[in-house]
Parts: sequence; C-alpha cells; structure tokens
Amino acid sequence: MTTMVACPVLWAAPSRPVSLTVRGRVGTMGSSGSPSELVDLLKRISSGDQPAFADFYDSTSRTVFGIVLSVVRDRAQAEEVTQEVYVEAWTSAPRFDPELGSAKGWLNTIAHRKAVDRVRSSQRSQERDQRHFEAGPAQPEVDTSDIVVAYDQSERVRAALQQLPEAQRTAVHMAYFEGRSYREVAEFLGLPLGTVKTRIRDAMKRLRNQLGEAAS
Amino acid sequence: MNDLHALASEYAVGSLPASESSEFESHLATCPDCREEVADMRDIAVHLSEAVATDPPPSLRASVLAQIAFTPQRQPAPATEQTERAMPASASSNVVPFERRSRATWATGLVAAAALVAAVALGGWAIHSRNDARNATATAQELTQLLAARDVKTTTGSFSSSGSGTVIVSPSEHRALLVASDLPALPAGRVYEAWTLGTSTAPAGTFTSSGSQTVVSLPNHAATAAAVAVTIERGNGSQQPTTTPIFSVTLPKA
Repeated sequence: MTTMVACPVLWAAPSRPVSLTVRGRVGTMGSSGSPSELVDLLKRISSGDQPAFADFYDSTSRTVFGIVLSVVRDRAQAEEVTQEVYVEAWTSAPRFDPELGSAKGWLNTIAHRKAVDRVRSSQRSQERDQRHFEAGPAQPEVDTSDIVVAYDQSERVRAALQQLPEAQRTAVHMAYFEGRSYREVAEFLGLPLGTVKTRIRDAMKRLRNQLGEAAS
Repeated sequence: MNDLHALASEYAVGSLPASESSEFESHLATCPDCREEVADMRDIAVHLSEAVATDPPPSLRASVLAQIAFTPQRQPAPATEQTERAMPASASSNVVPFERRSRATWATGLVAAAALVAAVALGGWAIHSRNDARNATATAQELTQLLAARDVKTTTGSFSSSGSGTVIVSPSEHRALLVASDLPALPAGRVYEAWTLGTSTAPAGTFTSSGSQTVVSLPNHAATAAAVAVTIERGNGSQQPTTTPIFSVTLPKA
C-alpha cells in the first residue's frame, strides 16, 4: 500500500505545552451555547429575530469557521463559505426540528457540506490539493496559537483521535477534515472501497464510545 | 438494506458521493433507526470540528449580519417534509423561495440599499427616533422591513457640514427613515432636527450624532413628503426651522 501521505499530525501530542490563552468569548459549540439555548435561539431566529441570530453566530462561529477552513484550506474562501453557511442557517431556521437532531449537528452538517461543495468541483479540488501539498502533511493552515479552543473539550477530542489506530485516523482525517469522498480516500490510499468504509465506520464508533457521553 | 444501514457514519461525515447520498436519504425517510444513528454521528462530527475551532475575522460577523438582515427566510416545512427537515444539506434546501414578492422587485430594493445596510451594521447601531429612544432591535427590524417593501426608494444627499444622508421611503408601508453617515457631534445645547417639506413644513424629529451611522425614524407622513431637510436647532428643537438647512433631498414622487 502507498505511504501515509496524509499523516495526521494535526492532533499529535503538542510538542510544547498548550498555553491557555482565551481571547474574548470562548465560543466553541461545546463551551457556550448549550443545546437547549441554541434550540431556543433557533426558535427566535425562525421568527426573524436578528439579535438572536447574532448570539447564535457568536456561540457557533469558531467551530463553523474552523471546520470550513480545515476543508477548503484558504482563509478567503473559508470566509465566503462561512458566510454562505450562516445565510443558509438563517433561511432554513424555520425548518429546523429539534426532534430530529441537535442544533449543533444541524449547523455543522451545513458547514461541512458547503465546504465540501466548494472544493469538490475538479478545478477547485486540484487547487485545494495543491494547498494541502504546500501546507505539508495535514496541518491546519492556522497558526496553532490561533486555535483558541475550549481546552477540555478540544483536548478530549484530540486525545480520542490520537488513540485511534493510525489507519482509522487517516481515513477520518481525509474524509472529514479534508472533505474527501470515501472513493477519493480509497483511490488516494490505494485501498479497496470496502476497507475505507469500514475504517471510517469503525473510527466513528470508537469516537462515539469515547466522546458520546459528552455529545450533548 | 443492510448495506444502507451501514452508511450512517459515512453519510454523517459527508463522505458519500452525491448519488449515494440521495439514495441513503430516501432510505432515511423510512428508517427511524438510521435517522437516530445519523443524528448521533453528527454530534460526533461536531466534536471533530471543535478540535479545529478557529476565530473567524471580526469583519465576517458584520458581513453575515448585514446579509441576513435582507435575506428572506423559508417557511416552516409542512409535516409531510419531516425527513427533509432532518436533512438540511439535501439539494432542495438550497432553494430559497421568494414567497412574498418577485425576485426582481426584491432585488431592486436590495441593490439600492445593500451597501447602506452593510454600513449600518459595520458602524454599530446608533439609533435615534424622533421622540423617544426606541430600542435598536425595533429599528433594525424597521429598516429591514422597509428595505423589503416593493416600492422602497432611496435618495442620498450631502450635509453641508460634513457627512452624507440617505432617506429611505416606502409610500405603501407609510414609513421613512433617514440614515446619516459621519455626522459631526454638535456642541452642548444643539440638536439636529429633521423636517418634511410639502404643502407645509413640519418637524420630523430631533437627533444627535452617535458614531459613524445614525438612523433616524421619520414620522409616517415623511413617506409622502416632497422633500426632507435637516437643520441645527437649539435645545430640544423647534416647531419651525430657525437656521439654514445643512441637508436636503427631494424625494421621488410616489
């Protein structure tokens, strides 16, 4: 099999202590904007409440921008896509149904899908690959000092990712953080489709076991 | 169908190609277990995203809030569209219907005023109404509503002191707003006062400058006035202008 080009050092153990600088509001989905608060906000947003939408943005934008940037790898494009994500959230808020999933899951799905849409056209995908190549193996384009995360939650996730078998970690990395279809992942790694599917599935199940109780 | 059941993870991390995605969505419509599984896996995906959380630039917030201020929302889905609601990323969710009026008419008001709304959003809300300080939310919504009116018209002019002003009117809504940019602050004991001109001149509210954007809610009759003017007056304003207008624009005929 081919070499692990996409060796995910993104969640490798930090080589130096991570300083806990918290700039402004700690606004990851995990740390502010509880699930019920976000559902309440979406309810108000559904009736055109713009200040509620501003709160919703403040509670979620770091996570949305983070995953969009991870997939498109270009700050200017990430800003455009993030704007599209929030416009979609605004227009579709009246159709959000809390019975069918969490607000965070709903928004994150929109974000990931729009980021993937942005890079899946072939030309853009080549440009994106070029950026991944230039940026080196699987590093986010952001300075790590910019990754001001809610420490506990983010560290838990990184730790959980690090505990995955490398093959699974690579599959999840390419599928989720780089936004590739499992066919692309299979082609890239020179693996059968079924193997890649299994790796993604197994990885997600392991992650659920480790993080599931916090998935509120 | 076993194979389909197994696709929840790949679907939730967005790694299914479009054709298989739609096939799986059809399956979801009839499989509550898979819907639950997908919701679960999406929460795990949220955690993955949290691992790469990154501050967006502050300008993005202003830009987003300015855009949604004139973006219409979809109607709640009828009960028969349950599954589609669960799947916000399905192709149909990108279709934003324009339900109240035609796209062309909406676009007219939008183009005329988009830059203005953006400027207001970027400048922070410095809101004044003619008699009392109403809250910013009400006025922001007023501005949004006004800009969405089918017959909205905007007229811009300069202040002779410095700064510029735009009057936004909709005769059908009987509403009018003045948005002033970069108005200098006045000395103590002086206020700006707006006037409507037509068959007679009537006071249309006093205001002060706060910051780069000042939004003034004008009285309803301003929507059908021939012109709007601003003077500087003493104290709490007057019933008739006592100084030369520093701003005036002629409004288009309704």
